[in-house]
Amino acid sequence: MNSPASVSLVEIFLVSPAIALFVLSLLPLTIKVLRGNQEPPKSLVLLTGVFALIVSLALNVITYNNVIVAQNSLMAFSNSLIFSTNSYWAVNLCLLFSIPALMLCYSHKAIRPGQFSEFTFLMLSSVLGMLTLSWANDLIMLFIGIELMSLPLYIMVLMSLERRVSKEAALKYFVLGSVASAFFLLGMAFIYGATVSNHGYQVVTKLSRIAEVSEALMASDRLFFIGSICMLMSMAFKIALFPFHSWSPDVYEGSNTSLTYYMIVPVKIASVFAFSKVLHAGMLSYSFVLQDIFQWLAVLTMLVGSFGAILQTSVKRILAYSSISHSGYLMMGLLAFSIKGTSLEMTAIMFYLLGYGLLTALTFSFLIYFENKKGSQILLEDLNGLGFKVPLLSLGMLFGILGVAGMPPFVGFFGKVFIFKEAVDTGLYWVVFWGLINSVIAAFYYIKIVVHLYLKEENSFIKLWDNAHFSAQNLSFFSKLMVGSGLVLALFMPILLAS
Amino acid sequence: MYLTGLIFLPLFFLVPILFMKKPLQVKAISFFFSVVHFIYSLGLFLKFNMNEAGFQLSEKLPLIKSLGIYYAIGVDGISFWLVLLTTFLLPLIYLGCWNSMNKNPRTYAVSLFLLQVSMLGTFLAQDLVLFYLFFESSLIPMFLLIGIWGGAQKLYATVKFFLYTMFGSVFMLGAIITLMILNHSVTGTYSSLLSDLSLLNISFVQDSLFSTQTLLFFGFALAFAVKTPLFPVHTWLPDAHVQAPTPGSVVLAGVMLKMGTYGFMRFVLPLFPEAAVNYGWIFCVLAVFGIIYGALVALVQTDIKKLVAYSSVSHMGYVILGIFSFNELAHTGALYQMLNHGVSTGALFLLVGMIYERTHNREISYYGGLAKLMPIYTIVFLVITFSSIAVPLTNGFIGEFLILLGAFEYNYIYGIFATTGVVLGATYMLWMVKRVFFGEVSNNLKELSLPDLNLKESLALAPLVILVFVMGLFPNLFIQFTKSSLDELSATVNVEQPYKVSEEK
Repeated sequence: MNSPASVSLVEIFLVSPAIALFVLSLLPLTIKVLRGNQEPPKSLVLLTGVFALIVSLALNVITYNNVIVAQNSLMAFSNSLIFSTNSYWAVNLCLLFSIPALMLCYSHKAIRPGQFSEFTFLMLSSVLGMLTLSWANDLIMLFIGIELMSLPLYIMVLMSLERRVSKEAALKYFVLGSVASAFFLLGMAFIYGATVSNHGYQVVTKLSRIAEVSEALMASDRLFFIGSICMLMSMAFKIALFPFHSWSPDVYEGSNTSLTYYMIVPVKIASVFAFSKVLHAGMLSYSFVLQDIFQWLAVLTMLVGSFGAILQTSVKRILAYSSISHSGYLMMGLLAFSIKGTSLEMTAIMFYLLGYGLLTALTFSFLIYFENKKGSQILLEDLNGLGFKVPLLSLGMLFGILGVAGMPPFVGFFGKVFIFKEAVDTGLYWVVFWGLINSVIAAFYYIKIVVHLYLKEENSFIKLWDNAHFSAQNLSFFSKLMVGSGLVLALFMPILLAS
Repeated sequence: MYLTGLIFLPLFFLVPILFMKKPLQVKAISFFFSVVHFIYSLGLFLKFNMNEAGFQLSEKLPLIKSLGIYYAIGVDGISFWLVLLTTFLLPLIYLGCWNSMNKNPRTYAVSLFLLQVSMLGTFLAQDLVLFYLFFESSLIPMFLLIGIWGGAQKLYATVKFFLYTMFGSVFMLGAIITLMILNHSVTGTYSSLLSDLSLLNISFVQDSLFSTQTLLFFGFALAFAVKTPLFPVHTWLPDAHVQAPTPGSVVLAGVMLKMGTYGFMRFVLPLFPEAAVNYGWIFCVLAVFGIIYGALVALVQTDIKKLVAYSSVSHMGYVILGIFSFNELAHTGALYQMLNHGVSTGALFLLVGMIYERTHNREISYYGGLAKLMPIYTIVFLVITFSSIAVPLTNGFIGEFLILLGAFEYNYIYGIFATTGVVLGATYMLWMVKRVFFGEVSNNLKELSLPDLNLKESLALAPLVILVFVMGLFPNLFIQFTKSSLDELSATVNVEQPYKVSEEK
């Protein structure tokens, strides 16, 4: 046990990814200031941003292999941070998928070109928030992490050249997000109160301590129960679980497509992990009522997402609804985690998210490429006949869509097997049953995209441009490489991870 | 490595194909590769030991260790001929449909070869997750085949096909996952290997729908019943067949339908023997119903292709009846009938495709007196028709006879009803043949120039015609390869045959 005042070198080493990220995130801004408030070249900013993420990623890997891997988990800073294999993977995934997110933002025309350095800074700060919450072992730290992640996001949504919709989305997101945060704080207060009055402790703030007392408190203390509900609700909002999901289609649609990717992949990964922390503190484990409710919420989330998506005509909105549906699957995994509480379930969830992030990157790069051409949202009809015109990107879209649908040779299938396996192992048969049904319903709208891509005759949208626009030469070598490696990974990732 | 090569060879073929530009080049090289693949697969004859019951040429590599998912493949008597059938049909498809494959030939080749990969993988996989992986991934190329090159209603047909079969198989995925967990609870390790799982004694409670084995059995059976297709869940098939281009129809009828019946033999019977015996009557009844229903519906079709499609429903009913009659005779017959159906229905679809290419019409009433215009075509069509309606000397006879024999031995009531299907089968096929080929030459045909079969088409059909007679006259050539594996299968499913007449031998 460390005494509160002293900070050892190991602790600094442990948080070095965050420190590096923070320092390097200032780089684009500094460059801008030194140039006399002239926006530096966009590619330079992108380069510094990606550099920051990669450095942070590298530091994370180094610290893990040198310090954490020896122990199962490691506390630091008066036990307010915890470093474990799970948090290592969460941090890795967040950093990893922020890289394509930043690249997509770079290539999207609707991000204000004059403010890209600020934008990059905001995104990196938001990633910093993810790191913080991944390591949090303290309700306050968790809260700070979530807020640090969300606040820059509100501004980023706003920083779009696009129509009024993005302003509306930003405001909606901000107001509702604040309400969710308020619930989180309220729940925190209740839980503090409950632990104080029952145990005569000092306030119990550490998640690992709460986990120890929650079994007794859940049964005896109504205050603790209500506090748990508040926190669960707030987290449910963050991952867009059923009754708290209604903000997400509008926000996802209203913000830039590149930002939508950031919201449905890295932010979702972090939110799921934050959720798992709350669950780890035992807020769901000891109440069968809550477990039942959340089982059905998981099912309803899947179904609402799928049925919502069936009705849409905008590809982006379909993907937004599909992301809600995926929250249902993730909730299934989280439930299994809260009931059994081993790291196996978290591995399954992380694997699922890894596949989801990769496949979604493929679909979104396709989407953004055409949005830039069209200047507005891509509707389903706009895809007609693109498959043979733009083979590489379309193949990426095909792989991405089928993969997200969980079709076999792609990585999404293995993610699904993992999650379902954990759920069956936990005894969540009905959720799995509905999950299986839902994957057929979901296939319906995913396959609709493929139908438009490959099976329909081309229409006027394509003819708007001359053929030169549509040759793959329009893609830079680099983006070809990215898409190509994405395709390969989508197929072979499970095998790579098996070793 | 031989079997891995067999499965994944088509992927290597795709590399040069993707760099070809001219349609003719693409088709020529695809045909060449399909022949190479077939010749490679003939190596099975050298390596396969027909006296051994278990899997041979096995390969095993861990795919995901923590879940016990393996890349495990192997061949035995049940899959032996199906593998050969798969590789055998593709060159014939290329020859027989040469002229109709001009639109996007590269994508055509990619879809067909990917389909080969997934079908071969399905027949060779020994690990359930691997099997599911191949089984499901066959949907995508077939989806594209029907959707890109199909007829007027192709989008409806292909989406229906995709969702229908996917709906069937998701529950199998759930069942597979449950099996993996059951294995964990018994042995302490997760595993989806067939060899591990068949050692499990899955609890079965008589007359309870919710005992583990019953639920798992129905999870698997639904997937395979849809694929087969068994009577009430067959409705995707006519649409898919009619809208599919000829190569799609041939592969679908020739090989993909067998993935369902193969699944019954390979997984359902060995893994859930008690449930299969207990609920086998459901499948027998449905199969018999399908035999008669398919035949009756085929009788009233006005579209030749749709007629052949419904005849598939009827024929696959025989296979299911054979499988659920639980004796060696019927099992042999079922396996034989699968091959017959692949040969005869594959050939029928090729023939229908050839005439469609000349006239662009499939209505029976459009034709008449074709025998005078295309004599060779007519002879081939007749031979295949005889095979399809199980005339003695042709292959169809052996299969149906063995199945009916087995069915009578199991329960004569099924046998009696199934036998009526033989008569009905003759009725609809011969009536169609009469209307299309004989009588006055119809006015529609008089204006057209109808060349008889050209060299490529004849070459495509010749092996099938020869096979019809070889399989009809020398069934032992084929059965000797399957015998030991089927012996073992029938031994696993030990039925107290409820209606068995006598045990004299």
